[in-house]
Amino acid sequence: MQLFKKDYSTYKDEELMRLYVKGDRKAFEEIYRRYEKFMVNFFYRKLWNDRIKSEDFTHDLFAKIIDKPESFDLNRNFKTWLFSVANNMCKNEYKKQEIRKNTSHEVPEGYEAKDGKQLADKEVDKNAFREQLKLELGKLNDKHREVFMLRHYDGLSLNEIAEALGINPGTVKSRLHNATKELASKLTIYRKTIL
Amino acid sequence: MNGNVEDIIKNKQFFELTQEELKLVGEYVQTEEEFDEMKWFLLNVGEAFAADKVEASADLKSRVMDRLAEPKREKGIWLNSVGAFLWTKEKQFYQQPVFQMGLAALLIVGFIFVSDPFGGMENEADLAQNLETEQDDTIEIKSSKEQEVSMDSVSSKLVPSRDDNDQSLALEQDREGELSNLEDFETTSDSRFYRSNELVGGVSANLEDQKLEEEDISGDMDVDELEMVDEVAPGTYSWTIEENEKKEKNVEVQNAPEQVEKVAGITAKKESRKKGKDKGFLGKKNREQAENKISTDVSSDDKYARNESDNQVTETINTNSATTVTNFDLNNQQTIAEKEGPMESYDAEEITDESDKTKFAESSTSKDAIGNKRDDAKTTSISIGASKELSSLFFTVK
Repeated sequence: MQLFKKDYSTYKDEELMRLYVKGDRKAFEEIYRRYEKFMVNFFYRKLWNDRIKSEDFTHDLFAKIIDKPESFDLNRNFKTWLFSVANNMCKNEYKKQEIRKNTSHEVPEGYEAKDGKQLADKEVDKNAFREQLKLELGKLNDKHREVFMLRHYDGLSLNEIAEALGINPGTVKSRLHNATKELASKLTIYRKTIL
Repeated sequence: MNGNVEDIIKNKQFFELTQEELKLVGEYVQTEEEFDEMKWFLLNVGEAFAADKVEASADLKSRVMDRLAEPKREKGIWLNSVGAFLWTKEKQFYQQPVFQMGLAALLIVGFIFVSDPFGGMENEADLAQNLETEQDDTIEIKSSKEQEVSMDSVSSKLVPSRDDNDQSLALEQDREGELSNLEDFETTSDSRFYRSNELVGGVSANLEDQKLEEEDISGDMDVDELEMVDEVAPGTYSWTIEENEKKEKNVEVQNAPEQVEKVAGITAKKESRKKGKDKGFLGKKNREQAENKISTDVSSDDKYARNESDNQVTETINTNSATTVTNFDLNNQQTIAEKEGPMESYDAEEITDESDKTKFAESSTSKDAIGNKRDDAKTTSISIGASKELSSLFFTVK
């Protein structure tokens, strides 16, 4: 019996979607397993680190796929399509809240010590680095910051970023290069303390 | 490519880089120091972001999976709600709304059948339909009447009346009245008949003027008589051909004998009428008198001749009672001379009293007047065919 069971983990995203369009629920479960964490963190980052809101948006995103799987173009890259849909949902939310320009929400907010114990020096330096990173990200141009976050936070490749944002891959490369150089030059001072 | 550069920087040391990798990382760093700084930055950024990431709750997954397990929602759900309202599961059969509503509808329909509260409406509807039918008939009569009037008006234009202005004024008033209602139709028909005899019938018609006026002709109209277009009464023919020759030169001379033959046939028909088989416009007695007159005026021996030279047309009509010679100048469009021969056999037998003689004299005068009107008829150029003219005149004589 096990011989005939499909190993959905070996399927590509697009193939899974094709199977789900035909009515294979297991295919959708595999898709959900792959992108659940991605989407929750994406919304968490984009929506002011609001965990409840991020989960609600993640639910709505997958609900759209459940209700209208045919809305996905099978010739496209599923990952980039999923991120572009999520990005549009965030933009709509920005319009609702009219807080689009609040750059502080683009970077994960600060976090508290889990156990509440006295932090070690090294941990303090790391926290300082994170705070400085958020600060410097906030100072970046929106376009540069978005590319940088998609690359290093969400883990998308250059081509995937280009497709998700609908821009040229060369532009993505240029923006990423500029953002990385600028942040690296400003945060190098923490190298001696953290290392 | 850029992703590869970052991966190279994260995973390798500077001295481990190949020439190709050095070219790739050269976009970011030039020296080993810069390479190490960039490596440290990228690693710490990754750690910082990884520390910020959150885990999805189990509740989210259950919600999404529940949504996945739900049957597909279809549009038009309100219909389901209506169905749920009509067929309630919890209630007994007789308590369900659909059963109760159906029962109420049956009761209402049954009540309507038994009591028949709208029974009177059917008769009213029938009456309304009858009214419409009557109105339609009236409209048809009017339309046919209008056609007759138009024909009559054309003949009146082509053949002017010999009577005085008072009579023509009365005729105009009657003509206007013809279009108004059906009651006026009878009066107008009498007037038209009276006038037509004056115009066409000549001698015979003038003898019966007063009597004809008193007769009701509307009820005696016969379809067969109306359809006899080319069969012209003799009294009519002698004048009609002449007038049409004046109006249109296209009428051929050879038509005259044929028309005379037809006239002989008409005479035979009218003789059969004397036996009481048919009812015409004329009263029986009046019709006999008129037909006797016509048969003496025109017969198959009548001759018609037309000579046309360069500038003149000479028309000769030879009947038993009279000979009429007319010269017409084509260049000046005028009648040069017109002569009328003696009435050989007419006065001895037919004209007995003084009043009839007077009327005959008047008819001769009207003949002259018509002859003098040739110019007017030509200049007005009313292009009505000869057959149409003949038919209208024939109708009026009958």
